[in-house]
Amino acid sequence: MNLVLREFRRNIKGLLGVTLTGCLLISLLAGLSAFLSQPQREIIYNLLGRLPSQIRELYHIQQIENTEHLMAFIYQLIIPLGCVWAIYTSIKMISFEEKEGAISFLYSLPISRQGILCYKVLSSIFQYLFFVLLTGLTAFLWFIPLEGNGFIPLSAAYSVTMLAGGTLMEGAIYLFVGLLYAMKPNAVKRPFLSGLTLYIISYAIGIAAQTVQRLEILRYLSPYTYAVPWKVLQQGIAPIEFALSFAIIFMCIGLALFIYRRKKLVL
Amino acid sequence: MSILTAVGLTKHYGRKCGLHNLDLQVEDGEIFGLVGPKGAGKTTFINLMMDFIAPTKGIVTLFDMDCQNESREIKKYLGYVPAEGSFYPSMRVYRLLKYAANFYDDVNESYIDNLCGQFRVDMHKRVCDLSYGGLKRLAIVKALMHKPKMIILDEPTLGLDPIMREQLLEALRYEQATGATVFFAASQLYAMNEICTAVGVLQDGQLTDQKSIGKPAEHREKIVKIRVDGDITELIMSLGAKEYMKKDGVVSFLYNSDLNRLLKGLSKFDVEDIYVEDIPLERTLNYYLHEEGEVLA
Repeated sequence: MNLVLREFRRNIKGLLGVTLTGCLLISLLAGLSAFLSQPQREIIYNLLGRLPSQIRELYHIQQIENTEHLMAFIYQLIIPLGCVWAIYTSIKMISFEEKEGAISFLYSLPISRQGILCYKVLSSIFQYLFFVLLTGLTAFLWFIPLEGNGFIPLSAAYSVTMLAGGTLMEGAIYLFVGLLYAMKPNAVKRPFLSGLTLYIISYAIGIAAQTVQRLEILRYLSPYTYAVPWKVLQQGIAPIEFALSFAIIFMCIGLALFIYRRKKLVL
Repeated sequence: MSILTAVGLTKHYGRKCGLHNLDLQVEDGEIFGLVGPKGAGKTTFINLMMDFIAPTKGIVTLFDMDCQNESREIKKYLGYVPAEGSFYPSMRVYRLLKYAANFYDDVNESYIDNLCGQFRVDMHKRVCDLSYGGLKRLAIVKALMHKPKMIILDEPTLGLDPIMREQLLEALRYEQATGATVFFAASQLYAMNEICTAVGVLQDGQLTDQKSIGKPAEHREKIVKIRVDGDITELIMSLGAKEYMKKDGVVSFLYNSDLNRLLKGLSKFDVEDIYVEDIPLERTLNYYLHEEGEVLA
């Protein structure tokens, strides 16, 4: 646990930064909506509704009719933030010692490479969980002014749980994809750019799968079709998405462990 | 009893050969020096012992455990000093030592304080503010803080001033006296000559010589040079001197007996100058290096 805490402490500034950004984003959009009068709100929702159907389809923008729909719309912005952070933190954490030159120090301690990897991954999971919980709590609290009747309906708790669950699942996939990417030599050089690129590429795969018939099989490789907030609210997380995400996670862990054990020490 | 055993140890870096079929044994309680020119494979051997890299062929064991498969267990009993100390730059020294101490059982904090005092390591400084020598000293403290059974040092005196070098030798003597084994790799032996009890020569990835000296330098053969008025040949031969030579009024020889007897005998002569030095280990191994570490003979 020594290593988990150390990693957590080392990343605390970045973690607080991304979590606060997420909370701020939720508060900004939800707050804007809460302080607008009903006719003003309807104007904005109509504007969104008037976007070309292709664009609305592409970005999963549906008609906003209630607070749950608004939160689903906001979560579409939170998920990419969390996912890019998950890859970034995963890459940075694994190859941090390489960058700092402290790798021989870490490897000289009585801990196996598998142990190092597992503790670091555990720390990344805790960090991502921290992000999901705090953004989820913020979203949950915004139901009070948005609903306007002084209490939070039970359905709000369910909606936020589902949305946070989707964010958690999608982020977990990216976290482990980032873990695998971190095995690449010199992966630590531009972790944020790498994270952003990986996310954009996988999103583009989803759009391609949606628009090109022949590529439809690739749809499950993309966050574009995974845990889409609107669908999550309506149908929950599909079992096939669960199964596939666990398959991807296990594959990434297995490969990362295999490579990390044989990884050449960069001195 | 052998504490370190390497059998047929080979390491290739692509086409380049780092180590070739190395067989080596280090006995428990020894201070073993692995000497050789730069690029001979000394650090490669240490990296294999520490499980930093995997061998192409062969096996290396420490405490009868495989360094590749049981490295975690082995490292509980190992202290490691790299050629250049590298740690988390932003951490403060006391935090770093505390962090490292958490990985071992029963590390005494007051012992860490003592070591820091002994090696002049400022515990409140950040690692990035330490000098090259400071990093080396920190590496030594980190290696000794858990009272390891074996200490591995790569170029141990590199970056140390003469006082710190003496402190290190003293600490290693103490560790040996308390039952630890010391293994070090160096381009030149002179700095560690005083405490070395066994030595191996590595050249081009192969062990070319291995010798157990068995006793520290003060008990080993010495080179004596005397500028004296008169013939002292009979005296020094009677005392068992070897390789006697006389040139430009200076008599030089190798001497292995009691120095008091020699001085008593010399008191009858008019001695202008006398010079006594330990015989370099390199010489006993017929191995000479010039300053850059290139093999001359």
